[in-house]
Amino acid sequence: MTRVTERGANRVMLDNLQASLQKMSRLQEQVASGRQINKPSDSPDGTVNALRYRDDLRRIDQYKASAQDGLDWLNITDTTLQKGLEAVGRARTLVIQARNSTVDAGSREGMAKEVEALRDSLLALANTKVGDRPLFAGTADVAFAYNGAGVYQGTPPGTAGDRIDRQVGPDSALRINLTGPEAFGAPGTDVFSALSTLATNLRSNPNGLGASLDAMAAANAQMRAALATVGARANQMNLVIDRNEAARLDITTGLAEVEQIDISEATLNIKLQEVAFQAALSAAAKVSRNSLMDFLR
Amino acid sequence: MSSTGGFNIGLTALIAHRQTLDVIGQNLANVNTEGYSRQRVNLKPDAGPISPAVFSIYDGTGSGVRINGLTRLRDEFLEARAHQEFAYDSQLNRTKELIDGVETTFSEPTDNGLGALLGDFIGSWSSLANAPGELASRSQVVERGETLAAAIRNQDSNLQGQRRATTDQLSNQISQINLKTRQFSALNDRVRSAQADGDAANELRDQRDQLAVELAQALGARFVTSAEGAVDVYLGAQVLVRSESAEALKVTTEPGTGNVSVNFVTNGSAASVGGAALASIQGINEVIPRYRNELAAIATKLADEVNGVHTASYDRSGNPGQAFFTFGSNGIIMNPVVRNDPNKVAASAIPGGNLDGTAAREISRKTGAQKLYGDTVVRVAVEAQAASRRVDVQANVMKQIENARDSTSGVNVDEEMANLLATQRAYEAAARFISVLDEVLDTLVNRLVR
Repeated sequence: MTRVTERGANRVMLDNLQASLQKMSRLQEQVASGRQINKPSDSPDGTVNALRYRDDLRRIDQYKASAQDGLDWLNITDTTLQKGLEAVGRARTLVIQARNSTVDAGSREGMAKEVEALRDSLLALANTKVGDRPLFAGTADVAFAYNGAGVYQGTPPGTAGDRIDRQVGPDSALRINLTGPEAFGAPGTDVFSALSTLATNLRSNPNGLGASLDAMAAANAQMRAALATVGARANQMNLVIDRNEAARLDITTGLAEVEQIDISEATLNIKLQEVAFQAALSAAAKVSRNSLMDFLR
Repeated sequence: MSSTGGFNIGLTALIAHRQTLDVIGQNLANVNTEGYSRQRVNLKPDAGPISPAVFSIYDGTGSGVRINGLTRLRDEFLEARAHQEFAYDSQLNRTKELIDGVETTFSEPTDNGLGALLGDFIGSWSSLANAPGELASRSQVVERGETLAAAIRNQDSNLQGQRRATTDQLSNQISQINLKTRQFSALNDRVRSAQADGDAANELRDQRDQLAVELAQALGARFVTSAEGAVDVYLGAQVLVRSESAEALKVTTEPGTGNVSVNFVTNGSAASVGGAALASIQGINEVIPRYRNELAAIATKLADEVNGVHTASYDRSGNPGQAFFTFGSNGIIMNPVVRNDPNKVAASAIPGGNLDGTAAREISRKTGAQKLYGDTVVRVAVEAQAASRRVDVQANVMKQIENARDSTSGVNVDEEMANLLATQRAYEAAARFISVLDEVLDTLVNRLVR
């Protein structure tokens, strides 16, 4: 039979109280910090997941920021091209009017002036900037995509640096830019020289107006195609943003599940632990109260 | 039988029970003394003379009671096992302290740990990729790179500091141990001389046993009782204390590596220590260096990943990029050239000075350093958790051992009270016996002869 001694009983009692108190303090720490994992060893598995989720979350936020930035870029391109198309449409109307034999030289001069104005406004549109960066210049470090004479200054399409990409997923980068020639036609046959030729034709070469009409149609087609590309990319970008949004929600939920505590459950646990602690305390008080001395006289 | 011999029997009983009362008093006085072993009086009936002499008359009733020494109630096998468990327990506890310290330097999962800083740094390259022409995004990359490098260096110096503190702690403990082994050998001496005088020296033995527990905890020492009441202390097969002479220990630090070993002062040979000292040595020589190496591997991976792209790319002016991170005497630092001029951050994959952000985008996709860091955090977590579980398991073993020791050696007040009563009654009975004898003699002397 094991002999029981006061010191032994006392130690067992203290051990039990200590164990109970430790559980309490751990639960309290969890509730106070609102987190299940306060240091890696609380749950190695949970810590790995928490680290991974946090990494994923950071990356998703980067993708989101990049995609949003790309979408802004694409939207500005879209607006610019729409306005450009209006200008080209107006020029086309003017050609059709000018080919009507009833139009006299004076009116044609007026038309030529308007065409020149249209060209200027189109050139201004082609030099639109995002921040201080020309929209249509590729990655070239230039102030304007086209100079005053309508000559393209940016990165030529098909050469290195013509693409501006946004990383929108771990393995997906989307192109967000169009170079000037891709939007407005190759140098020499672009919409600016077509408009210059048109102005000249209106003034002095009515026979060339037929060719100019074709050129306007070509410019229109070119810009429409560019617009379609931009629209498709914007759609893609929106899809990516939605997808990232959904992924972000999943990750946030996962992270909360791993890291955070269920408050109601934790509170209940604390309550239970409190009861256990009180029981241990009252048992301790009862055990150590009596001894043989109480009954000797 | 002599007519007054009975008085002697009564007297021996009075004396024996007075002494028994003293021992009970001693037990009660030490009910809360750490390491005290309760004592029991061995009473022995006093027989008459073994060989009848000429004038002695022996009628076979014996001549009272005698105290045949005090027994310290103690189980030597249990003690030997307790020493082993004490040593293991303190080794596990020290290991846990150490790994807890390492774990504290990896403050994860939080929004400001190294994991977050790594993520922020990599993320800043993504912003740079979106706006390679803006000084703000370049400066951000530089700031975050600087912060990250400083955090890695800081974490390493925390680990180094912990290693130094553990080394100091070990040296301190070894000098305390040297004091204790000297005390131990002195106690051996006193026990031996007390024993020569016929004194069991139980209190001295208790003191020595208490020292034995402390030596077991600190060093994992083993104890062998030799003749003449001396206890020898061994470290494995090496002698630490033999009878009245104690060997001194010292901590030796290897100059280059900072690795430590515990050696004997006299001949310099390595002591095979256990207990807390062993855990400290392992911590200093293995655990902390291992995590420092892992941290260094993370820094190297980071530098390789970033520099690999960075040196193959072009800065704002179109010049080839330089290394982004380099290594100084304290570990990873940012290349001062890049740090002082954010335009030297290479974001472009195309030479000639342009607004390409492909290189920055490439760096923003790197995950190697973060993966390595995650692996390291998990290793710390698993090791800390395992250490803590081993301590918990051992705590149960310790409880069981303490209870067993207590069960044998501890003082139970109720038991002592019962013994106190029994002894008191015996004393009263002996006194009564003497007074009855007195009356009997009175009858003989005063009534018979008139």
